[in-house]
Amino acid sequence: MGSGGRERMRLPPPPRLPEAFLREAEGVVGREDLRTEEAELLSHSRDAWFLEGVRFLRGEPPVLPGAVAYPESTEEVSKLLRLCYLHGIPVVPYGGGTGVVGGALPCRGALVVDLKKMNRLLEVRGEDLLARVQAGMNGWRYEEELNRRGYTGGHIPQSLPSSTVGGWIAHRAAGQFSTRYGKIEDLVAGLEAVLPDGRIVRSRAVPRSATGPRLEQLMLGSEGTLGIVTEATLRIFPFPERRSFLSFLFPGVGEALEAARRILRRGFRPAVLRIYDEEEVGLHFRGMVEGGVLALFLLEGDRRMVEAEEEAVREECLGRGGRQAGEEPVRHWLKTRFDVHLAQEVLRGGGVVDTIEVAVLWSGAEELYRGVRESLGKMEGMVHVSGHFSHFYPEGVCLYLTFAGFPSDPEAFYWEAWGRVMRLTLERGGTISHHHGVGLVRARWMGEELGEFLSVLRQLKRALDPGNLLNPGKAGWGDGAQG
Amino acid sequence: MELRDRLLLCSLCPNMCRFACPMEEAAGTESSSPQGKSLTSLLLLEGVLPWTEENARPPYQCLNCQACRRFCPFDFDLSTLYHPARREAVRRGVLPQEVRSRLSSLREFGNPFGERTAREVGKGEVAYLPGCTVEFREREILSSTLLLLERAGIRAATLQGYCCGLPAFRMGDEEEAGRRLGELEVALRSSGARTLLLSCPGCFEFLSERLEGWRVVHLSTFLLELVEGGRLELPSLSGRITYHDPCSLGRKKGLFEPPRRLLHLLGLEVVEPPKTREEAVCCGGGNPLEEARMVSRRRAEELRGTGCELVVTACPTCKWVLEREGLRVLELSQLVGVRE
Repeated sequence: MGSGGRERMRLPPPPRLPEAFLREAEGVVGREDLRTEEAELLSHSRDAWFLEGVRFLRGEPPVLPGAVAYPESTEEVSKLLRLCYLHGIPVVPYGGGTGVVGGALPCRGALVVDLKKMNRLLEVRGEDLLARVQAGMNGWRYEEELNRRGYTGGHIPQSLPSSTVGGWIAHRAAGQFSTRYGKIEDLVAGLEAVLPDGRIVRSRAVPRSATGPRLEQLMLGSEGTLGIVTEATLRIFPFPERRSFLSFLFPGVGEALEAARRILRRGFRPAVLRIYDEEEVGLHFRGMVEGGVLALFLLEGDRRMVEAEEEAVREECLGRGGRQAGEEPVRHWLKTRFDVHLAQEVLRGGGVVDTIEVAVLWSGAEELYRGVRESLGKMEGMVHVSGHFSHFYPEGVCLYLTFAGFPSDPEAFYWEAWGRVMRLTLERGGTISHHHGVGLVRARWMGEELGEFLSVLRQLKRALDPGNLLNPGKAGWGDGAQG
Repeated sequence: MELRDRLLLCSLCPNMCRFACPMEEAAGTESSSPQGKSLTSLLLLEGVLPWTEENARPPYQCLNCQACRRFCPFDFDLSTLYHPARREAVRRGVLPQEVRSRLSSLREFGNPFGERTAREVGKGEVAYLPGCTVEFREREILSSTLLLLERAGIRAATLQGYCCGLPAFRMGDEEEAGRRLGELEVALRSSGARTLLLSCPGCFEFLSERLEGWRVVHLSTFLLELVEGGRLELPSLSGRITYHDPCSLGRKKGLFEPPRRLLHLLGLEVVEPPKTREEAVCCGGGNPLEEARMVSRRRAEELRGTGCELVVTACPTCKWVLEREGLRVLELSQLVGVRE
């Protein structure tokens, strides 16, 4: 028995890749950067997917890769992929390992290509508001470097302290400040990537181009199945001159959503806009505000724009039954926004806890929220269901759900909860993922989400990666995609 | 909470502290991340991972700098979490080569530099332990400190050739650490002093938590007391300098102000580096692994970026390490002791 009442893990013998391959790979990255010791293999056998944590606690043998390579340049990534292509070795790209859908988990005997040694901010072009950065750069360090130079990247996902730029692109991420600055797809101006056969492809960093489909769009959300992103040119913004914090308590979710919809419709883009239902208010803002639905606003940018935005936010919120709740809830959110300890505690305590984010049009937002809450709430063993809305558009919104339970069969419970949310979202015309991606979790619903387009993606995958070597089994469009 | 439960929680956490770990940044590997180190330590202790030199490396890839602690949702002190794995590595004799070499030096010579020295204990109201870096690499700090004590009219008993035990303790060798600490206590008793004065923040941190019956004080605090009590006059200096916070003095013991106050009283303008006080990055000096050298380089680069020609610090090891990276560095006593 291991600690915390969990089962002692049984470590399988590490898979051994062919000697000739290992020698050649060592020739590419050097001896120090090709690792086969168990500590490295094991560290790459995990990401932040909840079920992977459950399996770890159950002591299930982890799936170990065959080796880990740490390339330091695009050319090294290219040579590695070429080598894998020739030897038929599967490749799993790795960044910070913070994905929550199992996208970075290895298959047995794969070569993990960890980008963390490609971690430099290569260039900041103030006049053009662009930053060229290597894909393995840690998100927090990237933002910090920009801040020192008087800019912000505007991309602040909850995983910022641990995730990498390449991970954001591969998973089509969205940050907490995205309503103003855009999602990662809005921020990528140019890209460099290595294809499964080792070819290096680059797109120019330009404001816009009409020279056919863009490389960025192929790589954004490809989850490492079509290529490995090695470098990106991202849009940046002058560090905001002014910040303003506002919050309002509403009698219900409907009123808060309506106020938000009208603010967006008028053309305002609050950097942060979050609407928490009563359960989440109880969970995250206890003792600070009570009895209602809480809307947080963090406005930033040019002073005059912020002032105009403040006025519009007040107008719409007060006009829809909102009561001012002051700056404190926003400051509290800013201080605690990276705190993820509750999930770990529930997991360690033998419970099931996960979050699911979907996106839906305004016309179906409240109905979907009520529908999934009701459906999840009826499940046996469910102890907590809550939701907040976290990314806003003129046409709709992202609904972010949290559920927790202590069921007799955690895995069956987990998939049942996911299935209910996915089905209801699809029925109401929404999308099953707003920003966490597909990975292993959502693969089974991709047919319903994409329809015939899924077969186009499969054809594309086969054309670029005929051996199905790049992150095989992930994202729902490769051969043998798991679910 | 049990140690292994803490390691488990850290292993399951997506590590919102990762960016703050200078060793993870320097090594660039997944197993050197806080999560990787916790996972490896846990599974080594549980007998899941085989004890090999390579697998035993991650628990040593911690500088004990506690930069991660501010961002830990569980308020863990990770350096203490990795200690049992280091202890077990020592017991088994399965150690990274750099650690093996440091331990052999500590065991044979009583210092990490492998230098032979004679022991000497004087008598006085204050016992002064210069520490290994001062004795073997930064002798000027010994002279400047003794000069200051003399100017203040303090009869100091210098404890030369003694080790506080911290270097061995950090490597997981509790037996060797205990032996060194015991020897120091005997010397301290024979000195007749009731106050133990330390130049090294590491010695200060370690001994202030272990010695009972003595006032354990770091030089920065002691000098400030002497100045404010009118027993020591400061020279009048001018110019801009940058100050590097030693982890053991600042982040771990909360002593950010005494050195800054002294610098202010000296008439110097302190230019703070981008990462300072709570956020100050470790100099990498206390850890023998090769990758710690990269940490030193990065900190030196950041300090250089302030544009100041002189770096001041309150730690002999930080001084030695940062000078090795090409910076001009002075330890506090060297500035306070300047003749106008």
